[in-house]
Amino acid sequence: MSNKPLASRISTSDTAAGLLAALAEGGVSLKDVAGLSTGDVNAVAKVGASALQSGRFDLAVKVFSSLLSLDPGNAQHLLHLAVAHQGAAQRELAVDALTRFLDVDLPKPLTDVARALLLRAELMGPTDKPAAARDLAAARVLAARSADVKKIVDGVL
Amino acid sequence: MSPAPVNARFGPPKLPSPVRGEQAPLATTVGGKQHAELVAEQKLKGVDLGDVDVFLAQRAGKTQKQGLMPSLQALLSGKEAPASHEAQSVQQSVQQAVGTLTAVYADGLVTEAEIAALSRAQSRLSSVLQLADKSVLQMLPRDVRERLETRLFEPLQVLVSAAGRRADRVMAEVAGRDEEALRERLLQPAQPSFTAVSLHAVATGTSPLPSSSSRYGVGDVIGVPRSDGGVSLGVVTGRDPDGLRVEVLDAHGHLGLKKLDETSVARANPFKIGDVIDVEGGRAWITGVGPHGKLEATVQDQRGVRRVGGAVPPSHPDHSWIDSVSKSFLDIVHAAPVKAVQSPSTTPVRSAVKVVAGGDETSTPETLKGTIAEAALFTYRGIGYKDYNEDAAVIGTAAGKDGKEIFFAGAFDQAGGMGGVPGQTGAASKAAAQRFQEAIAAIAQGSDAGVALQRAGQAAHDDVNSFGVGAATTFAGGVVVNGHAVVVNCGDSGVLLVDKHGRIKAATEAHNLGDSLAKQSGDPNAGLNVANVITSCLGGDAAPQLDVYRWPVEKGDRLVFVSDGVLDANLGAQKADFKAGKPWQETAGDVTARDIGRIVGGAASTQAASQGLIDYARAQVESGRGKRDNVTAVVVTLQ
Repeated sequence: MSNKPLASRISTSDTAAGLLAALAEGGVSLKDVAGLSTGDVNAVAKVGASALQSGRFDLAVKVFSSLLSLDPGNAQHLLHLAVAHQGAAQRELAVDALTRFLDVDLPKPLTDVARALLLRAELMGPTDKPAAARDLAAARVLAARSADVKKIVDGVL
Repeated sequence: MSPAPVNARFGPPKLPSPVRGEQAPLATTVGGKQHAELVAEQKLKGVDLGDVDVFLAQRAGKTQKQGLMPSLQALLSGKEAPASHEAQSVQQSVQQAVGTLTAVYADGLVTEAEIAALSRAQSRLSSVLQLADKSVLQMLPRDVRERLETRLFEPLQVLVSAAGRRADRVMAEVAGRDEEALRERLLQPAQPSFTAVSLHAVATGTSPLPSSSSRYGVGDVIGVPRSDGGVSLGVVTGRDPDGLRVEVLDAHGHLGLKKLDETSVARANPFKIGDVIDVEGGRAWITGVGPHGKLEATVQDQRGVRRVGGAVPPSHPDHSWIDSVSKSFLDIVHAAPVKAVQSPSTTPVRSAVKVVAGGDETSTPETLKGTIAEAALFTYRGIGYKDYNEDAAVIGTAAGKDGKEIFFAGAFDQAGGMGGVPGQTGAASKAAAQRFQEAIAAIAQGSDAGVALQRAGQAAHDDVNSFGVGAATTFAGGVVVNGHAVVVNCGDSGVLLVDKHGRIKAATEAHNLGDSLAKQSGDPNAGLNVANVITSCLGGDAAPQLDVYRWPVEKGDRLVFVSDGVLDANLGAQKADFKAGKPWQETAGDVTARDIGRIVGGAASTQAASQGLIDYARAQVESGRGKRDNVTAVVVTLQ
């Protein structure tokens, strides 16, 4: 990828069209295209984490949903968005974010998968016990594969 | 050694075969849930509905008290942000910019794909704009905020003005070039040239389809594929290095410009309108394309001249379609059916390899013939997924130390990474393909095949992690040597061994949480909630699980290497049916494996088998039964 600033790289009309098409596909990270670093993204994510900690859940939702668009190659933003929605009492949106996290075709640590399953089971349990049971079962199967996951699952089951 | 037991995903066909989507008795509901669903849950080992109650009681109110999850805590453990300065609000101007972009492009004079892309880009950019909110910017360190402003928000405005210039220039250029091309054509004296095209050669893949875009000139009528799967008639107005510009009336009656690449030309125009096909007893002229994409022709034989409808062109014309076109005319003119040409005996290939990786893709099967086997490879972006291919595939032959041939093939499916960034697309799967080839060199020198392939997988795992971009890839590669196939698999791609009757003799086990759950519980629907969670792959913190399989093979067997773009060809249907209270009696993987066996076992050639799997995956996605993904199908036929 070119290290030249984005603005100079879109000085011609054709590159503008190409860039738009690339952005639209989602596979091209706007973060990469704009030349932002992982540190920059983490700084933004830190704003979201801080908002979560201080109970400003709407701001946290705003930050993590923006990060999804800025840096779509990182599945963890979906997990964090789910926590933000949960804090904002937006149960269905939280479940949706967790489901997207579990479905998205991106690498994700099994420990995060286990956390997502347990959180989704907790959110869905009161209204959809079978679905919650499926998630708990999946978490248990994962726990049998990894000591780190087992620690997480044993902590709540 | 006997074949490894097949797993739940690729389980052998059960008899009697359950009907897909067949509804199990659903006599009662409990709490609004289907009884069958509750029973399915209770089958899961170690978990029942009581567990959920206990779990919920334990978790009640704890989540918030326990604070943030570790990944969020890690974010906060970094150094504090410096005191914020007054944020420069750019939100409004950028919002205006995004709106302007839409207006610039929504003039109907750019390709359908570009309009759709803009719509998706707008949604994405609008979401990012939330970062331009004062409440967010104020909390960011000054240097980060400045980078966001200079590298993200300001360029968006540059993008707007560039887009506007582009629209003006494109329109001017298109008009100028089209006028010039038309003048050139009109000034040329009519000197039609004729080229004989052998349908036999086309049907057997030894000659390209006669639909190449190079045959079209300005003013020619051409079939234009529509997004709904149909075909409209258009007129070629100009040529670009990578395709044709076509003026077409869309479904709403609007005249617009479209760009057709080589694949689109072939898809909608297996023959060029105006082509003449000589068949026994008569002659057929391709005269047009019907409303549903059917070829129309005028036929002349002993009974006179009349107009007939032809076959529907498939997405990828192949032998079977050419054959069906011939037969559709056969009914009229008693044409001789196209027969497959016998492959001539060839000199044994001692060492050859075909690799498609790093974002490359195929539009027809790549083939390779050795002495002990032949192979066909097809890998492409799929439909409705990403605009590029991240899968990789390899086929090849090598000479072993003993002089005997080693035949090898592999499929590698990437996730994550830097996507469509030029030079980075498919970097992880490409690394796996490269390491796989290195393993072949070691095997040729006498290394144990299983060990060499495992080492290749481990080396590729390290390569992928060294990229540092959060990428991962599957690894499904194998060799045929001394009457055995030695296969190594990691991830949710897979390898199947199919006999000449289409029966699955053996298959690799997918590293997929959904499959594991289905297998452990005996309930084919148990893992649908985690069907896309991979439990092992190359790349990431965990060491890859590289399973080795050794299968005896015999003449007529076919080895099939496929990505989950094929393997999940029924996943969408199973999920939808489960949601509708119609749980399946077998896994989507079982159904797909049986379909793969049928397609591969019934294919007239290795090439047709590979193409057949691609067509199958495409059809499943188009009907909503499959999963949108890149698609790879490599077939090896033992000789």
